[in-house]
Amino acid sequence: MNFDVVIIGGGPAGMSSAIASAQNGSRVLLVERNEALGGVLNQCIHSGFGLHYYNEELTGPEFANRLENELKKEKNIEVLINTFVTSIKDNEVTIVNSNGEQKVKAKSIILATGAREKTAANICLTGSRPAGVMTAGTAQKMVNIMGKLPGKDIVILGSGDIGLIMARRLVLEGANVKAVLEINPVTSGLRRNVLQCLDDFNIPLLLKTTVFSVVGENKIEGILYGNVDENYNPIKSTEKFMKCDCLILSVGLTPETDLLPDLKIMKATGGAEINEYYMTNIKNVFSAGNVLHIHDLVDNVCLESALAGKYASLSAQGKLSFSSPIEVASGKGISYVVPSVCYKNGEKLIAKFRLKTKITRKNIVAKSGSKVLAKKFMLAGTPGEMVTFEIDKSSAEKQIVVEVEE
Amino acid sequence: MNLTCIMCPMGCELTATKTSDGYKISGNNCLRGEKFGKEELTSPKRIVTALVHTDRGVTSVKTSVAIDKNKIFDVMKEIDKVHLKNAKIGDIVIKNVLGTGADVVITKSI
Amino acid sequence: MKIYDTLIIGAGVIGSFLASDLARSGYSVCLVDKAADVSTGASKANSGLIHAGFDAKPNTLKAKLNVEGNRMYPLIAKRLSLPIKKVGTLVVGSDKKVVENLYARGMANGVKNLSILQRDQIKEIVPNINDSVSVALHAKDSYIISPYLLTISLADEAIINGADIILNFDIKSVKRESGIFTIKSAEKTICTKTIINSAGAGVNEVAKLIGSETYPIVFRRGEYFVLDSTESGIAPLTIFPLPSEHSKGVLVTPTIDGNILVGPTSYESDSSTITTSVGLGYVRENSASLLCNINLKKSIRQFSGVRCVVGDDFVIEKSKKVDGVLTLAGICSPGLSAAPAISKYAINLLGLNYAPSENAKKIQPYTLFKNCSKPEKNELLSKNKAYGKIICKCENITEGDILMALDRPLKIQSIDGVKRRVRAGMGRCQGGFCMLAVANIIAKKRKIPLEEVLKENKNSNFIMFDIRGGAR
Repeated sequence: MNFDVVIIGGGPAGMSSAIASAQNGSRVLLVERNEALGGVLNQCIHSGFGLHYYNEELTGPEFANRLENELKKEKNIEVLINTFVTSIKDNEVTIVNSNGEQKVKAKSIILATGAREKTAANICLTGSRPAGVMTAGTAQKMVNIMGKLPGKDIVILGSGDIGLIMARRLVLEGANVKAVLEINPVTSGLRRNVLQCLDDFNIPLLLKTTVFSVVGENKIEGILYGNVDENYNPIKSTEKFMKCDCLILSVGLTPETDLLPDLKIMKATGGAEINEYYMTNIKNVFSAGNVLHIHDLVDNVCLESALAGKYASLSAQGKLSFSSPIEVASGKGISYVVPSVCYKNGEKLIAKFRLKTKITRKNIVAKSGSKVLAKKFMLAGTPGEMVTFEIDKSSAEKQIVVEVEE
Repeated sequence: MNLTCIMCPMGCELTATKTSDGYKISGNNCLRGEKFGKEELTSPKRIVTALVHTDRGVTSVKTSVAIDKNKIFDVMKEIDKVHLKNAKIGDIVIKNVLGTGADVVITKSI
Repeated sequence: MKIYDTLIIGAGVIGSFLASDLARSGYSVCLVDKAADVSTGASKANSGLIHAGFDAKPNTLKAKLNVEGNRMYPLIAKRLSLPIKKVGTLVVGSDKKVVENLYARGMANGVKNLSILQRDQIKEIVPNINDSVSVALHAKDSYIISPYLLTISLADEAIINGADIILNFDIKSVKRESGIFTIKSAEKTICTKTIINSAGAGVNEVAKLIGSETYPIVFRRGEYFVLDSTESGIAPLTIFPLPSEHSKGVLVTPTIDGNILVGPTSYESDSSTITTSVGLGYVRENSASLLCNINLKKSIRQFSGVRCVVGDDFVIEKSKKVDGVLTLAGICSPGLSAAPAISKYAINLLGLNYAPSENAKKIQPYTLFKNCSKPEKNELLSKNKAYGKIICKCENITEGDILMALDRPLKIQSIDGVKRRVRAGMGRCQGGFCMLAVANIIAKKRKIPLEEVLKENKNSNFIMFDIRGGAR
C-alpha cells in the first residue's frame, strides 16, 4: 500500500490532521488501534469541549462525532480501525490487524498517538501493590465505557483534570470520594474543575499532601498519607491513615513517543522537538497533539494538528522550504516554546508556550537580538494553560526568544 | 466577592459587587461570564453528564442546558431509570427532566 | 478416595520442579498452594539469575546444588521451550584481595570459566562501568531466565504428565492415620502417603499443622527497580558489587524480557512484600557505584520480594517427628539456581526415585505472536483472528496471546496471571491501557461477570459494581 500521508492515531489530533492533509491534496491513511475513532474523547463524557473550535459547548463524544463527520466528507482519506502500528522505519509503517502484518509506504508520517498516564511506578508510590490502585484514565474508561465502578470509598492522588473530573463522576454515581491529595501547594488542574468537580460536592482538596504508603495485601485497605515539606519530603509526624477501597492516580501525562526511539525529545515537553512545519528530527515524520506536548484544550489540539496535516501534505508534494533556519527558544518565565526552529518563508510563526509561574498583567515578548518581533498582553496566566503566540518573523535573525517582560 | 468562571477552560476570575437590583460582575472576558457570575450567586446551574443503559451496554447523555445545582442528584436518579434498545446521538431520552427545562440527550450513538 | 504418593505444599519454583519431576518419574502427585496461581511468592520476585555458583561457601548445600542446578538449566530450558540466555556475571570493585578470594571459592565449588579481569578488560565488556571499579571476577556460566515463566511452565508440565494442581487451597488441618495423611481445606480433602513442605514464607505455619519441625526463619526484603526496555543497553551482563555478609549487594542485570533490573536491598523485615522509600533510596545510592549511567527515572515498576533465611544454608530434611514428611526451608538465594538440583536431592532424600522419563509429555511453548515469523503469524491468524488485535501496546501482546495463556493446562483467571504468562501489562504503562481489556477477555473466556475478575488472589477484585444501583 502507498499513501502520501499516513497518520498514526485516530483521536482529535489524527482526525484533524487527516482532514487538513486531504484538503491539501494528499491521499491519506488514518490508522486507529481501537474499534472507533475519537481516542480519549470517547470516554470524556463531560461537557466543556469545543467552545473555541465549534463555538459551542460539547461533550467529548459529541466533539469526536463532529470531527468524524467532517472526516467522512473527505474522499481521499482511508481509515483503518482495530489496527496497530508496530514499527516505523524509513517512510515505511508496519501495521497489524486481523488481516495480518502489512507494510505501508508513506511520503509523510504524522505521529498523533496522544499521551499515556503516569503510573504508580513513575511517582515511586511505595507500600503494597494491591488491587484497586489505578490511573484516572483507567477509572474513567471503567466507569464511562464499561459502566462499572472501581469502589465505594475513593481517594484520588493528584489534582490533574482527569482526576478532578473523575471525582465528580464517581460522586454522581454514588461513590464517596474521600479526598483529593495534591503534593504541590497549588492544584495542577484547571481552577474551574476544582470548583465544579470538588467544591460543588464538598470533596476536600488536601494540598502539600501525598500518599506515603499503600496499605492492603490483596485489595487496597487504605493509605498512609500526610504533608510534605518544601522539598517534597514526607513529614513523618503528620502521617495518618485513611480507609479506602480504591486509589486513583491523576499525576500527569507523558507523550506516547515510544514508536520512534530515534525521536529527538524536548525535555520540557516529553514530546518531539519540531520545526515550524511540525516535522521532527526524523525526516518526513511529523508530530501533533498530545504526543507533541500535553494540551489543555482539545480545541487547541485540532487547530495545531490541522497545521501539521497541511505541512505533512505539502512536504509529500515537495513544497516546503527549509532555508535560513531560525532557532526558537524560551526565555525568562517561559517553560517551553514549540516549535524549536522556524524558517524565513514569509509566513507568520504560530508558537505555543507555557508559563513557568502564575502571572498577572504582564507582556509576553518575542525578541530577536534586541529587536521586538511581537508582543502580547496577558491579563492573567497560569502554567496550566497553553498560550498561542503569533510572531512576525520577517525581520528575525538567527534566534527568536520568547519571554515574560519585566 | 470573588468567583471563578466555569463557562470555559479560561477560568476567568470574576468579582461580583452587590447592586440594588442584583450583582455587577467584572473580570469576565465575555458575556457568558457575566451571565454565569450573576446566576452563580442567585441560582447556580450545572450541565449534568451521565450514562444510560441500553441493550448494547451503556452510553453517554447530557442535559441540554444547565440545571439547578440542587437538582443534580434527583436528575441522576431519573437518568438511572432509563433503559433503551439502542441510542443515536441527539436522541432525547427524557424531555424536560423534572421540570428543569432541560432535556436529557444522547451524546454518543451505540 | 485417591491417595497420592506425594502432596507438595507450596507452588513456588521448588514445589513446581518437584511436581514435574515426580510426575515425570511416574508418581502420583498433587501440588497445592493457597494463592490463585503458582509462583506468587519469592519465585516471582527475585533477580531471575542462574548463578554460576562461586558465591556460596564450599561444601554447603548451597554451593553444591547451585553448581549442579546451573548445569541442568540449559536442558531444562530446552525441554520447556523457555527463553534462557547465558550472559555471564561480573563482580566488580577495587579490592583485588576480595576478588581473588571469590575466585578461589568458585574454584573450590567446581565453577568453570572463571577469570579475573582488570579495568581495561572490564571496560571492553561494560564501557559505562563506574570509575571506581578496577578489578572484577568474570563468571561466564551464568544465565538469565524468567523465574515465573519457568515455574508456570513446570506446573503446566506437571499437569500434562498427570499431576493435580489445586490453587486457593488454604490448609485447615492435617491428620495422619495408618500411614496416610488427610489434608483438609475449607472445601477440599486430599489424601497422600508423603508430604513435601515447600511453602516458602509459610513453611512454619504448614509445619505446625503437620506437627513437624519448625525453623528459625528470618525474612529479608529485597526491593528492586525495573527499568524500561529503552535502557537495556546499560548492562550487557549481570553486574554485582563485591559481596557483603548478608547479601550479594545491589546488582544491575538485564532480564530475559529486555528490561533492566536494579536491586535488591537485603534487610531484615516481616514477610510483606511492600516497597519503602528507604529501601528504594538505598538501591538508588548503591547502584550508582556500579555504572555511570543508571537512570532510575526510567523505572517502570518497583517491587519487592522476601527471602526466607535459615542460618547459612538451605534446610532440606526429613522430619524426625512425623514419618513421610520432608521440609524445605530457608531456600533463599541461590534457590532459583539450585532449584532443579534441590528437587532431585529432595526426592531422593524422601526415599523416592528421581527418574524423569524421556517419554514424558512436552508442553507447548509460550510463543508470542510478535516473536513469530511472517508465515507463522499468518498461520496463527488463519486459525484465530484474535491474533490480529493488539491488546497490550507496550509489549505488543495480542488477544490471541492472552487467549493462549488462558488455554494452558493450569487454568488461571487473574490479570497478574495473564501478565506473568504473556507479559500483557508488563510494559511502561503498567496495564493502564490494557488492564480493562484483559479483564474483558478473561470474563468472556471464563464466562464470569467482570466483577469476579481478580488482579491476583482472593478478594483482589478491582471492578466492583455496576453503575446501575452501584455504589448508591
